Parts: sequence; C-alpha cells; structure tokens
Amino acid sequence: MTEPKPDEEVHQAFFGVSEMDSGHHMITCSLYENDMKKWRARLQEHTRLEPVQGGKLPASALSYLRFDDGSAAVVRRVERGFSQGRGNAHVLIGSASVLDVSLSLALAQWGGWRDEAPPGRPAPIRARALAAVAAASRWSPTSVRHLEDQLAVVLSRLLDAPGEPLSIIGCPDEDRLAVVWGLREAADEHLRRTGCGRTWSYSTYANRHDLGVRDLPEIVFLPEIPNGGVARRTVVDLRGRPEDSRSRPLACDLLDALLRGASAPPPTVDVVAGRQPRRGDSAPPHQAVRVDDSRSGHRMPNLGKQWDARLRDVSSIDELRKALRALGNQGREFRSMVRKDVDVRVVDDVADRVEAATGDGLRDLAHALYGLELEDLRDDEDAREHARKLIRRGRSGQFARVLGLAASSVERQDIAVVALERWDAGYPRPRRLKPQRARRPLGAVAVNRPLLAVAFAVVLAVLVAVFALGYATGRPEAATPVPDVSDVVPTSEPQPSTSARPAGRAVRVTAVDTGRVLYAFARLGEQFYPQQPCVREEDGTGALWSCAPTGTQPEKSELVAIEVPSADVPRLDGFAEGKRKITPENGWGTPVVVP
Amino acid sequence: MRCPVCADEFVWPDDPYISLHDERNDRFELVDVSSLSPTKRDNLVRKGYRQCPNPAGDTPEHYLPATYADHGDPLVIGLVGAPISGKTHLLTAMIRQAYLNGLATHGVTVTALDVRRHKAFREYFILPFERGDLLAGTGNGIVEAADILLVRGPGGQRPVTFFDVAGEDLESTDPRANRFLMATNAVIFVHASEDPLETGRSSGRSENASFEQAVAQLPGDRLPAVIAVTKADRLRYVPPAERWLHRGDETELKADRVRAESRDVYAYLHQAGALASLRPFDEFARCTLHFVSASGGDAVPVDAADPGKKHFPHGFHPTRVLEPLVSILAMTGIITGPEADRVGRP
Repeated sequence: MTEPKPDEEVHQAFFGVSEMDSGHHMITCSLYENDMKKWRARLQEHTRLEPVQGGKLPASALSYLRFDDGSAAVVRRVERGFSQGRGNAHVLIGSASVLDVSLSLALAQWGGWRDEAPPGRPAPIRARALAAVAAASRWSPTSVRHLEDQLAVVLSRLLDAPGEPLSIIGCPDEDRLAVVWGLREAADEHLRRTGCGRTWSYSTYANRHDLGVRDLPEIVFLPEIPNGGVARRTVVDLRGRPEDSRSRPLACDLLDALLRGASAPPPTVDVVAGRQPRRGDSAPPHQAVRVDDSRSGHRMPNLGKQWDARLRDVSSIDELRKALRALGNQGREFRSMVRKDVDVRVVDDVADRVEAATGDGLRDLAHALYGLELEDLRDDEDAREHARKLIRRGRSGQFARVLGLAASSVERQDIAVVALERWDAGYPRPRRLKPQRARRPLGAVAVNRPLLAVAFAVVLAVLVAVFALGYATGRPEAATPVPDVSDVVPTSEPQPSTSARPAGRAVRVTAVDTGRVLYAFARLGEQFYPQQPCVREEDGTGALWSCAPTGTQPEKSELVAIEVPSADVPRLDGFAEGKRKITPENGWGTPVVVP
Repeated sequence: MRCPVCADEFVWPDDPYISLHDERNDRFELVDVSSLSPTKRDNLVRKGYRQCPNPAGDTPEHYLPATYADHGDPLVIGLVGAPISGKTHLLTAMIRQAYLNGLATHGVTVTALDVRRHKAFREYFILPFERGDLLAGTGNGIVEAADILLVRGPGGQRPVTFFDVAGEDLESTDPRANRFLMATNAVIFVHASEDPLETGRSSGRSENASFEQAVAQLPGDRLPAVIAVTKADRLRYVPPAERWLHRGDETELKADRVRAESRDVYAYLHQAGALASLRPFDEFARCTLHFVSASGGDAVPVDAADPGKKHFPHGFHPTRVLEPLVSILAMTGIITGPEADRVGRP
C-alpha cells in the first residue's frame, strides 16, 4: 500500500433494507450529502448478495471495486439481512492509493466489518489505522501452494488474453481470495512489463457478469454461468477438464518463480503492449465468430468472405442494394467485424458492380460499411482508418469520392482530405502517396481552417459535378477495367520461388511486395484451382512474370495469376497436387488474367 | 421494429445470419444458415438470436429471438412497483400458471419464444418458487427482459415480453432503469397490501415513486394498464377482498365482473389511504384493478436466529394471479369478443 497522507480518510457506508423505507438502499454512511448520492448510485449494483438458481449463498463475499476517478471501494456483503438477495453490506470508500488491492485482500481478516448497520452515523476511518491491517496480512506463497494446479489453469487463460476480464467458476469459496492473491503476485509484474497492467479488482461472488453490470471487477467468481445478458469475458470453469492454453508454459514458469523462487521468465512478444483490461467489457468487438463443429450449420471462416460470397451470389442490382442495406442495418459491432475482414479487393468488386448500375448503390455500400447514418465514421477510429485505406488503395475513384463526400457530411474532414488528395492527383487507380505528403500529419491541414473551408467547398462542388457527370454519361471512370499493368515501380524484390520454372505465358505485374509471390490458378467461373508459382522473367524491368498451368486444369478454365503470401505456397502446392479448388483469401491480390 | 430492451427502432434484417449462444464460453456466435436445408435452418432459427443494432448506441450489446418478428405486433408488458411489493413473485406465479394452461379457458396458449431466457426464468424463479423458497427479487441494474413468450389467442399470435425491473431501480432517477418503459405497451402496476402490524404504519404512503415515474413517462391515453394489489392473502378476512380471493381463478371473461372487482379494489386502496397508487386509474384510459396472491401467504424465517432466510412452509397457493394478464390480453386484442371489448372501459 502506498503510504497514506496523515489526514486521508476512508469512509464507511452501510447498505440494507431499513425499517423506515422499503427497498435495498444505503442506510447510513460517513459521507457528505453530495458524495453520498454519488456512491449510492455507484454501489447499488454491488451490494446485494443474490443467489443463483436457488443455490447456496456464501455467508459473506468481498469485492474490490475500482472507479475511473481514482477511487476504490471494498464491499463486504453478508447473507444476513432483510431476506435472501437483500442482505446487508458494509463498504469502505477511499482513494485507490489508500484502498489498493493489497489492502483489500488484507481486509478479509479485518475485525471492523459489521454485519448490521450501526444505529447512528458511522465515523470515517483514518487510513493509517488500515495500514496496520495490511502489515498483518496473512498472504504468502506458502498460503497458496496447495492451489498451484488451479492457479496454473486460471493464469494460463488470463495470459492467453491479458486484456480481458476473467470469470471463474467452480472455485471453492475459501480459496477465492487466495486465487486472486496468487494470480496477482505471479503475473502482475510480468503484465506491467508487457504493457498489460491490471487493477486486479475482484469479487469473490457474483451472480452476473454481463455487459449490463457497470464497474464489474476484472475478476469475478461465479457459482454458474449466468443465463442472461451478453458477457465478453474469459470464462474459466475449474469443474471440468482445463481447456488448452498456449500460455500454459509461461503460467507455470511464473508460478514457479512465485512458489519456489525460480527466476521469472522475460516478457513474451505475443502479449500486446498497452492493452489494458476492460472492466465489465471484455472481448473486443472484433471477436472472431465461429461455430462449434458439433453444431449444425457450417463454419464461418470470416465475415468478410461470407459477405463477399453473399454479394457475389446476388443476381440483380436490386438484390445487391437490398443486401447492402441489410448490412447497414446490422449492429455497430457486426459492421466492425465485417470491416476487419473486408479488404480493398472485396470492396473494389462490389463497387465496380454498383457503380456500373447506379451511383446510389455506392452510397448503399458506404452505409453498409459504416452505418446508415455513417455513425461509425464519427466515433470509431478503426472505421475511419478503414475508410482512408479504401480511398487510398481502392480501385474505384468514384467510391473514393462518395466516401469523401460522406465523411464531409459527418464533419470528418480528415477523411475528405484523403479523398481530395487522391482526386487532386488525378489518378484513376490506386497510387502510393508521395512521401512528403504521406508524412504530413493531417492535423497540419486542419490548422489552416478558413483556407481549407474555401478549398473544400470548391472541391466538393467539383466532386459532385464529376460524380453527376460520370453518372449521367453512364461511364463512371472506375467502371473502366483497371489495367493489369501498373506503372508503379515494384517496391522490393519478390520472393524467389522454389518451384521449377514453368514453360508459361508472360504477364506483366508490378508491385509484388516482399514476402509475396505470384501464383497461377485455373479459374472456372468462381472456382479457382491452384496450379503452380509463377516465375519472374529477367527482362530488366522486374515486372514480367511467367505463369503456366500444370496440365491438369479443368476444361474451359482460364489461367489467372494472383499475388499471394509466400507462406501460402506450400499449401497451394498441396491443393494443386490434389487438384482441389480453393476460395481466394483475404490478403490475396486481384486475379490477373494471363493472356 | 422497436427493440423492447433499448427502445430503438430499426429495420428487422432478412439476411441469413443468426447468432447462437455458446453456453460453454457464454458467448454468441454468428452463423450463416443460408446453405442449410429448410428443416435444419428452421430448427436453428428457432433457437437463434439476432443482435439488436441499437442505433443509438446507448445500451450494452443485446439480442432478440431470431423469430421475434415472425409473428404479430410484439406486446411488451412492464411490471412497475415499489421494492418488495411482490412483482417477481407475481410474474413467476403468472407465467407458471399460464404454462399450466391456465389461459386455455380463454382460448389462449403460451410457449417460450426465447428458449434460453425462459429456461433461465424457470431455473431462477419458477423452480425455487415451487420448492417453497422466497425469491430473491430482481437484482439492481438488470435492464433485460425477464421472459419472452409466444402467446396464441383468438386475436392472433404475438410475442409477449415481460419486464421485471428492481423496485429500487424504478424509484431511482437513473434513466437507464426506466428505459424499458419507452417500449412498453401495457403495464401492470403492483401495489402490495400492507399489514399495519408488520409495517407499523396506519396509513398508506403519500407517494408511490415508481408509479409516479411510470405514469409520467407513459402515454396513458393509448396504453392499457392494470393495478394488481399483491399479497392479498393478508386481506383474507377483510371484505371485500376475501370474497374475491374465495372465488379462485376465473374460467370465463365477464366485463361486469372485472368492473365489480376493480370497483372493490379501488375502494380498498382509497380506504387504506393509498391514493398515490390509484393514479394509474386516473391517467390510463383503460384500466382494471385486481386482488392477487402469488404465494398464498407470507414467508416465514427458516431459522429464528437468521430472520433473513425465509420460505413458505406450506408451499405456495397462487390465487387469481392470471386475472391481471387476462385483462391485459383482452385490452390488447389477443382475447377477443364483446366482453373483451368492454374490459377496462368506464
């Protein structure tokens, strides 16, 4: 515990059902009026000990709550009180520098806890008096040694997702505080060094862990998985066989260091720096979505592919726009997941189709990606980055303009500026930003607001005019097939292929990045049959590749080349050997027809 | 479509994506059912959910049954009342009785529309209630529906969502707690009959904060309402309550009888000084009043040394708990006919 200031006070509050008033409320406290209202509201959801499915309640439960303003509360709920579910609670309230997690754990043995509210107004407690409690704490490595197996299971899962809150089921009541102490002692320093520090707030008993609970501690112990609401937490059930965990060795090393004094392992690279645990809101919205093998229905490898496939399957532009509107109606998190998986290629394909039919379709596409009110662009930096990427790298200049206009309508001029840069350069296809422009922070543009505003009005008017002209003439520029030949100089040498040089046809493709190669496929309709890697011709330009079929390609198929990660080559070779088809994956390039 | 949880309106999607609940990890998983056979697809959709888009972004992630929009206009019934007024016990007894075919004489049947939610409601409330346990009441901060049923009656089939929010939350000024009222289209106001010997009060409360907040928020000229006087078993020797309690459950709908009971309940509340609890009658165009007893008696401590742990030693004997629901169903067109048309009207 940080040394408290001499005058620091820890306040007390008591919750229960009073004789004067029905309902479970704060009965009395040492707080002043304004603070009392605040803490009554903050703690109301954390002061009832409620049973689950008629199960047995612990006689008491301890919670350590942390709040964003730097304050903390230690809550001791007891079964005793008006009725089951409306029992009494005694709360200590103070700054987190005084009421830290160590003190809260030490307070489990404090003699000052009361099961009933006192008859009058309680007095605050001097922080120094509580410091003596912390000094007498019973916790030590010896006191948790018998829990090593359980700690290893829980710590492994915690380290798998260090940013996620944790729900633990099946831990005996008497071991819960020891588990919290053991987890913290074993992993706190390691997590801090890797940028994933936790507050270690906890509750030894909770009957809910859904997103609706405000200020839910990072670690909660549940008797069962609750049957209501939506939770985003790592759930560890100690009653069954432990789930596989890639962090098991690290967890064992950390516990070894705690229990036997072994040297602590260095931080691992797969811990994401800077990810702080979120209270009451665990998994990120980009949580991978999957279906168990045991379930009916087929696996969803990723939403981007599904979306891609669905949009490809539609037979008319009306159906396509209907599908886009349906996606726009989806929740914000759904769109976030879709955007994560939808790359420029997918959007380019869709944009080509709707653009060729009607400009309104492009607006539908923007709505599908960022919401019907484009709300994602307002307050989601990931969405804005996605839009900027589409504008810079997408094939459709018209869609880039639509995005620029859309961003302007929601006052995201940083995105509109990116559209302006693309339009300004006059490139009908993706281009690399000039280094000096790419380095210029967008904020620097915003500084000159009057000039920018005038420029913007002019540019937007021009954009609208160009858009309208393109639409009226039925020749939107992005609908023009993009040539497969790029005038952009390759940024690096392609990875050399280990395959034998095929006797193939030449195709000119540039900008194959490091770690990527060109691979030949036989395309039959929407099906792709891997053939073999293409080989770069030594013609001095570095842009000419030779691609060849293997001779086993389906009849009536055409040969295309796709830029793929080098790591995919062995797998594609396997597909080629088995003459199996494959679906193009995210991260692959656009198919280029080999003449 | 208006979401009963966040009260946002949105276009119900017709895409093939549904969410299934993974119990092991307590998470929802998105599934594409487009490639499944109709039989398998229907089976999954019945068990599946759709995430509400919550365009306002003001409510935690929540899901509705995937079949929520497949039936008639959803009916959302909110229970409003002070803490410990018996809302949870009434709702538990009501849904249990409805599942026991208690509405069959009115041509109404019920099934679970949200299977997971009903399973939870059964495990958390109905089963402990059947064991004679005193229910813990609704926890603070719960803004989700208690149960979502599919009710089929002469007037068609409609999803019926029940909200049972903690009385402490209803009385609070936290707007989150009362959000469900924005989506509510029928209300059951719950007033607990008080035993003066127990409460130590000789007159009713001068204010009913939960009723006040709901009345102020709801358009009474358009919504039907019911005032249920719970714990009426305490009045089993007090006329006219005792006369109604002795009648037990009704088997047919008679508007005159509903009116007579409403008159007696009104007189009782007026005489008891609970004028604040009569406000819904003045504010809502269609309103009925009923005496109900969810358990048949008060819970008593299991152990004299621990007065907080209570149970019903003689089991439970719900009486007239379906009458408020029958009135709501009549006033919302699920039960039809000339008698139903007159229910709740002056």
